[in-house]
Amino acid sequence: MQQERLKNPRVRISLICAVILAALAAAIAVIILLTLKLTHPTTVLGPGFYPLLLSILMFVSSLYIIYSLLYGDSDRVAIKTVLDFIAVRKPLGLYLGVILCVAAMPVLGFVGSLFLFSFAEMTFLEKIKQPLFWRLIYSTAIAGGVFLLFNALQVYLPVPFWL
Amino acid sequence: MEVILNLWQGFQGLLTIEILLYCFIGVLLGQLIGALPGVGSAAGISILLPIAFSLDPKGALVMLCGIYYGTMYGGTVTAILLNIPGESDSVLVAVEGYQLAKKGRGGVALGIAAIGSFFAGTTGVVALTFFAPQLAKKALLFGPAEKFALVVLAFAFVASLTSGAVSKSIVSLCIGLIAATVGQDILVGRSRLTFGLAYLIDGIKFVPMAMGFFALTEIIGSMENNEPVEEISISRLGRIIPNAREIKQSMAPMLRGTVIGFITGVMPGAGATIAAFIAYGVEKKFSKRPEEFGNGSLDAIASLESSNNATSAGAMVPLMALAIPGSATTAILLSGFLVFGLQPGPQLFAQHPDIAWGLVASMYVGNVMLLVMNVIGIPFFVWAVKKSTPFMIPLVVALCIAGVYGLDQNMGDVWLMVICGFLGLILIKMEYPLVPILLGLVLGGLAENNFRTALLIGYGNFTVFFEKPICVVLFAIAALVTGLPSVLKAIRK
Repeated sequence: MQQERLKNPRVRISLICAVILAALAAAIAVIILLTLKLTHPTTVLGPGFYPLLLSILMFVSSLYIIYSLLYGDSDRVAIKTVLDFIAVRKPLGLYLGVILCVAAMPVLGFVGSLFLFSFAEMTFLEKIKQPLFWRLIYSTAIAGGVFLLFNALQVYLPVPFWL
Repeated sequence: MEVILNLWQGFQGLLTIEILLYCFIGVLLGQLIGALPGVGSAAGISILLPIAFSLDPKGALVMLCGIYYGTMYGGTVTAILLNIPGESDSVLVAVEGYQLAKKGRGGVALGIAAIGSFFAGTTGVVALTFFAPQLAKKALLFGPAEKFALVVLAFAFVASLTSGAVSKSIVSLCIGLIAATVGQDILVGRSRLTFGLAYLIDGIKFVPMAMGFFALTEIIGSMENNEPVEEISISRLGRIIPNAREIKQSMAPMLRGTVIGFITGVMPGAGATIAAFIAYGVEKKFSKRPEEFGNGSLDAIASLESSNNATSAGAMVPLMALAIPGSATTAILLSGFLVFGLQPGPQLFAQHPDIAWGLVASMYVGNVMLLVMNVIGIPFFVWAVKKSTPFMIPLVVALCIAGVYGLDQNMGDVWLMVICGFLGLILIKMEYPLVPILLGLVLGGLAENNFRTALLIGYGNFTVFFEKPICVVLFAIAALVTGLPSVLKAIRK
């Protein structure tokens, strides 16, 4: 039964996620125990007591999730869909685009990196591709419009370091 | 009488061109945000929060609240006409409304939805007007132990009522609460979990985290299912104004939906989606035309729209009276209050009556604006949704980055948002709810402060939490709410 469940990729991924969360909670608890005091002469409880309590609660809850995944009711483990690479390809592509856009901001500035991001998103990720002219217009309008809007509100967005 | 006088003063403070304009902008943006798939009210408010910070506090809060209840109206137009539910609470409206639209009765469905929304929104605000100040007065008598018990109760509701398993909600809540402990300890002043990073000394910032978990996660997640949809042409809408018989038939469903929505809204964690499902189930039982459910039912539309709009007024009660947000959107609104140096809760009505009553008054005005907008602005909203689709994702990303950077001109905040966006995506995929994380982050300081102060008063004795009957009752309800589903399941077996 347990072996059969573990063959399902969704259960395996859920299990890995729960184990990571349990390990994270345990790591936080250890860091607190090593660096912070649990009691204090004037405030009774030290700065470490409350976060330690929370990390223990998180650890126990994660263990319960792991237990449920391995031995719990079959309906609770509800295996709906196997993670589909095709389905997550576009969201991951967009996420990668956001990372590149933020990373490029010190070099290209807000307007430059947002223009490239918008143009790339509309070219490679949108289901219905707009004509090139409109993609250029939309990208310019988004990057320039947001920059000018925030400037008008006296919020100054990044400009290229070489300007 | 005191309430009426205060409300009158609230209206007087509201009736300036500037504040009315903010109210109008808020409800208009809310309507648009609600209509756009992939951008929920939490995401919408978090994106616009940094812009609001540059405005006058009263105007900004009126605008943010307008966005909140405006989104409740917004999802209806696209749900009924295009079968696109802008938010999860509009799913059932899409199921019923789209069937009516296909029969050429989309206009009437929209008309009933607008009237139901107005009725529920206004009735909900009337209830808020009388209920919130009374609750706030009672809350003034609360000490640290009672406040801690109240926060625990809110957490219990959130953990058990948000989607997914309770254990996963508790893990999410702990993530938020632990994140709230990062930075300087409130009582001793010692740095905690900062790992020597100067960026973390002031704690993890709320707005970048909220924008990452809600705006970025939602917009990236929306890429998964952007299927093209069938569309009803405006010419096939039919008449929009319902006749007297249709209005009479819809009155009882509207009333039932309003009561369900308001009560659900008051409960932290429940939200508009749960209210919609309860209202739908109840209406199906009470309706004289149950056979219409699933094939296009006006009763269902009336009840669903009323419940989801009453929820927003209900959710404002614990926020304004107790400073306890019950949803991600109200948590973000709470952070808006705090940035302007306003502490919602018992003191808000006493110390800032102009803001508190001005906000309540703005909800009456906003609901009237929304009714007019919904009756005459339908073609505009359909046009706006269709036209904005090609550039919605880059626009939201641009606003997120600009908004977060604009807070402190710090690229670290932008990176925090990007990381939270990725974590949010993974957690959603693994069915861990995100709302408890946000509530944990926003209420974490309050919970810890009251927990430690209560123990300080009680000389370290934990019985301090069980000395007063109100604490015992609150803890008992919290235990019941969290444990009841598991107990019932075990009994059923």
